[in-house]
Amino acid sequence: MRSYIEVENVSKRFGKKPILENISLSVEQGQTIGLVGANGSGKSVLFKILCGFEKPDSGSVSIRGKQLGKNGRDFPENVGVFINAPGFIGMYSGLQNLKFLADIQGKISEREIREAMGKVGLDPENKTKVSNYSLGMKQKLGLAQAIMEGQDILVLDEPFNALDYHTYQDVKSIIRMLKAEGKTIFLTSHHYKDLEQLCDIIYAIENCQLIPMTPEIVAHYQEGE
Amino acid sequence: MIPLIRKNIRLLGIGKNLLLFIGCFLFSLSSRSGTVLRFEQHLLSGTTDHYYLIFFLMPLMLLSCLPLAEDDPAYVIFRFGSYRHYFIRKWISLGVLPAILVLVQLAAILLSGVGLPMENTWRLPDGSLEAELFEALSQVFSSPLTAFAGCTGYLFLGIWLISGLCMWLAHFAGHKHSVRIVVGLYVLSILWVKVPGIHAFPITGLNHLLILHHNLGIPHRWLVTGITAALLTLFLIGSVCFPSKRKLSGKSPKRRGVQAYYQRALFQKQNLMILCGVVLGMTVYKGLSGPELSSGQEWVYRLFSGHGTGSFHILAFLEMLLVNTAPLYLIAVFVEDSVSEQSIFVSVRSNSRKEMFHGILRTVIKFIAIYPVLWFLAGLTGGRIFADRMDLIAIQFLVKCIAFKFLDILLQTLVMLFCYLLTRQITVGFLAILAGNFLCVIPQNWVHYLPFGLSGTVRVDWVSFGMGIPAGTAMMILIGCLAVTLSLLELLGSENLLGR
Repeated sequence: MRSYIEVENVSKRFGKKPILENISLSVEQGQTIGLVGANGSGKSVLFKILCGFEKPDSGSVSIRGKQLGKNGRDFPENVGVFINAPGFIGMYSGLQNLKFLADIQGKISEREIREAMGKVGLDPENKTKVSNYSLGMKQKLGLAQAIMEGQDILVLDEPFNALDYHTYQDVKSIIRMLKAEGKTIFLTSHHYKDLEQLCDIIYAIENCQLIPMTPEIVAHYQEGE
Repeated sequence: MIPLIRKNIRLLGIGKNLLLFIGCFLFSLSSRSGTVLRFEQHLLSGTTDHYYLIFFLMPLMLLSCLPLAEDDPAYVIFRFGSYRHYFIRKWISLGVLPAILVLVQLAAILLSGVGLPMENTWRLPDGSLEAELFEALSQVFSSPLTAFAGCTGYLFLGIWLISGLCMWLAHFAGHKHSVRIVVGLYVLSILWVKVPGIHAFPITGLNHLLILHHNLGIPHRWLVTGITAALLTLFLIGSVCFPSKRKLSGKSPKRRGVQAYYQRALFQKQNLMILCGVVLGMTVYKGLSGPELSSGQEWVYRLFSGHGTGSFHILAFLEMLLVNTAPLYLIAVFVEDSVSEQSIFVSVRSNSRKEMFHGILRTVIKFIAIYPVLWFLAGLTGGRIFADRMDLIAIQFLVKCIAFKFLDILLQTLVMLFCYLLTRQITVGFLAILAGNFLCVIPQNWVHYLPFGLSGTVRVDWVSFGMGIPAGTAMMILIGCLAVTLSLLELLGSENLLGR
């Protein structure tokens, strides 16, 4: 039986530079998978491939048994994505931005949007334009858009980036809550400790390969902190 | 239902009631000064004070009503078994709103009338402002006290009916639109009072539902209001048998697709302001520069002059660049944002790259279509200001120039997109367009047929001066190039839009 998410022999190179080589990964529903790796190691590229934003040069990605790029679907269904600080429309409020996004699929009403904002600690009544949001608020809004439609797979790339201590703790609690709700989560962080606390399985990307954590690698990342 | 009533009372709060009490008390006191009414007459006068009802009670009532009208969370609604049951129960529970408002109003009017002599008669002191109103009411009611009871009861029922309407609107139209509609209905009520002649229309406003005497003295008014109120009640109850399922299950009305999002991103106020600014600035500049204009046609010729071929005139070239590349720059920024990795959260909500690409393309074409409309308005207005008149020939010429402008800018945009798809650099596309426009300065015959900047009137032989190429040829070039570019985009677009 196929896993919930199946990455099979995925390779990707930009020009002549290989980024990923023959990566394979099976993820079951409800698992939280952590990825560590140096900057430019290919974590974000793998996430983009999972979201259909990048096409692998070879190999395939199947989500819930459906292969990406087949049957007219390039992007996976019901996947929440937080990659590289979402570029919201700056002149509108957070609520308006989320409404515009929700309108694309028309699955949810304003009530769910407000609930999602509440979950991440944002006030839906706040009329501040997103361009005037602090970085922490933008991160929270990014998380709200990733969960508001009840997405059961979440791809969160560096959600703790540049957050102050309190917002960092808030975001961590949100991820714990999502994990408790049974979401399948992919997560990266510069801090190995975060992944250790939040993830069921952690992989490292080194030399274009996805490798399970060994005590040596763990020690390496822990030393790095 | 008791929890619903409790919730309504809690939401209504003390502040608005206190405000109503103070306002009503002051209005009643002011009507008391100057004339010596009987207590019963004072009660009726306070309840039927036109300005108090329209400009104080009605907005306050609507302000109180709207927050109460919002649907409760789904888990509450589900307890009622169906939305219809919930709606009816909630509507009944909202009876607490008119009850409180009417009681507060009654208390204020009673207090303001303390000390007045009692006499339940229609007879008024001479010169009383209430004479006309009392005359009309005396046709229906036997005494001021019964009229007061009638008006108060009518107000109670009116507020109740309107609260149901607000509930219905909040459910089916959502909070934002329901507020807009209610404000619109309120404005209509004011118009009904203020605009003479509107009374003749068989329209029922909020004022007719709340204010009894607004239905008096106009033929068939009672009938119209009665039928409207009855139909409205039936409609409200009947329509919630088929509730908006999206509200119950959390679904919104329809899938708008990724194009709707792109439109919101591109059609931002500041982008439209930039387009308007460029058109306005260029129109004024063209109107004030050069010799006096002798005809509308000459004005249009000047407005869309552009840059000729085989020579270089810095000002004309900069004008052309500004006019042609202003929308292109905005589009370039939009495309870059839309396909960047910061927009993955938008992409994953669409089905395919093809849908994304078509969404971007259609949005861009719509945006460009605004530009000729602005130029058309500028051409017409500028013609009236700078050339004194725009006759039919000038307008026809303007329309032709606008059509060329649209095709020219559309082509340049599509070429820019094509360059982006080849290089994945929108800056390269934008620079390619600048270079394409610059080619016209080459002193060679073939540059007459270059499609970029072909919408300039100096490039086309519009007035048979022998300058430029024939209009038909120019049109063929633009349409041909557009067809080729569109085909290429269709071929490459979906696959090359995002990461390969």
